[in-house]
Amino acid sequence: MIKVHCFVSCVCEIIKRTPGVDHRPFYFGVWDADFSVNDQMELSYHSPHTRHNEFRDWYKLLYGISIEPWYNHKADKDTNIRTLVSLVENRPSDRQVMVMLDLYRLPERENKFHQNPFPHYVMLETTDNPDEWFMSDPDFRWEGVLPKDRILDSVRSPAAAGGFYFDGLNIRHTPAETVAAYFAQCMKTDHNPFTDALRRILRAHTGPDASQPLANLPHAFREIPVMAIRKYAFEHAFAWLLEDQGKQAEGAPWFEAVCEDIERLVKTYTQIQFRALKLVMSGDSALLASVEQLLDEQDEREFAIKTRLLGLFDDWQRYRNIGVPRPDTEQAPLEVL
Amino acid sequence: MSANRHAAIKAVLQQHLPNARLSAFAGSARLNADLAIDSIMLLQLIVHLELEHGFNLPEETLLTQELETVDDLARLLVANDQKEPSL
Repeated sequence: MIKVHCFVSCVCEIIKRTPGVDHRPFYFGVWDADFSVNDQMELSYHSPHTRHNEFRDWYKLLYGISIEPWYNHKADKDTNIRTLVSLVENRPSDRQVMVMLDLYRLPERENKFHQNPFPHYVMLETTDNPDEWFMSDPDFRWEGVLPKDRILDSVRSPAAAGGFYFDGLNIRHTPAETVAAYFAQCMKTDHNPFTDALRRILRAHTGPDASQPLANLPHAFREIPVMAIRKYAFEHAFAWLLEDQGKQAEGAPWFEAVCEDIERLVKTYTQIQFRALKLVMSGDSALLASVEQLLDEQDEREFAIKTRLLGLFDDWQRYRNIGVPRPDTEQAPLEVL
Repeated sequence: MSANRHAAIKAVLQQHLPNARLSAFAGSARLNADLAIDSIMLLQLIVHLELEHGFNLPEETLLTQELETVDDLARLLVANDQKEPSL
């Protein structure tokens, strides 16, 4: 599994290491996870207002663990750095300390996105050397030792502001009813927020009624790759709902076909970004209709994936003999920050 | 033909992508790790190659092939007169 969502990867790491508990249901919330579109109609996978409250609430319900915020957004950076240092240096062995840093400031860490800035959550521990800290970055499947000063410099970036801690004692086995309720809460059956947002962003930059310059479209679409990979969370959901019924996922033709469709969904966002870029760079307005067409195809593709997932979810509910209603179609609209 | 493609790639990096690490340019150079070309820079590079140098990368290739090195990109480029039908 490649990078999907850094906050989720961090909090799931301890679940993955706990026998008898499965982290994959937590990914139900990821394929349509929050993002923002700012006043200039630019897509952003992260916004200064992101607090991950829903993820934290459901983590508590699913696994019995409270994720506590330690970062004080009203205090200055130095105060928060002092808090971080104290938390890391006085960390009980079962505590995970998460911090948001700007990965762009750590070029020694390979980062395929090369975006500046790149806000990103990691977990930190001390080492025997007081000048070095151990960094765990499950989202990139990386861990290693880095100079403490280098880490703190990346935390000091104005683009990074956030942190949580949680204790790994007493992780509980998740009741099936809670998993079902989480699925119902996450499943947006009548709209695909990411594709909808891309359509609105595209229309804000094109045509006679555009509110934004066409030349800004590539920048507005810049973070598409970071968002697109969240759709791989569907794979976790399909695999878990199959395996929890004692069925095979990996290698089974039905599952592999679904994975191919998910892959196509992810990759087609690249195609959308490519055609939008070509539209701007070539001035060939005929490309606009083709981008719209790809967005329509993405909707069709994602609705089809969701329909199959709902069918599998129904099977799983029958298998588990639970009667949670199917996902409600009433959903809050995308918040434009 | 291959030399032309490599030269075209290098020319685009020189002219349009100042954040790329041109000093590391070579056929075997990795686009991301060695040349610091991120995903959007790669797309820009491909569009410039098409608009200014007569080479295109079929979209299906973009979706199905891993473009790891300069050689990978050069190998998959197609001359514009052999391109797929217009969109």
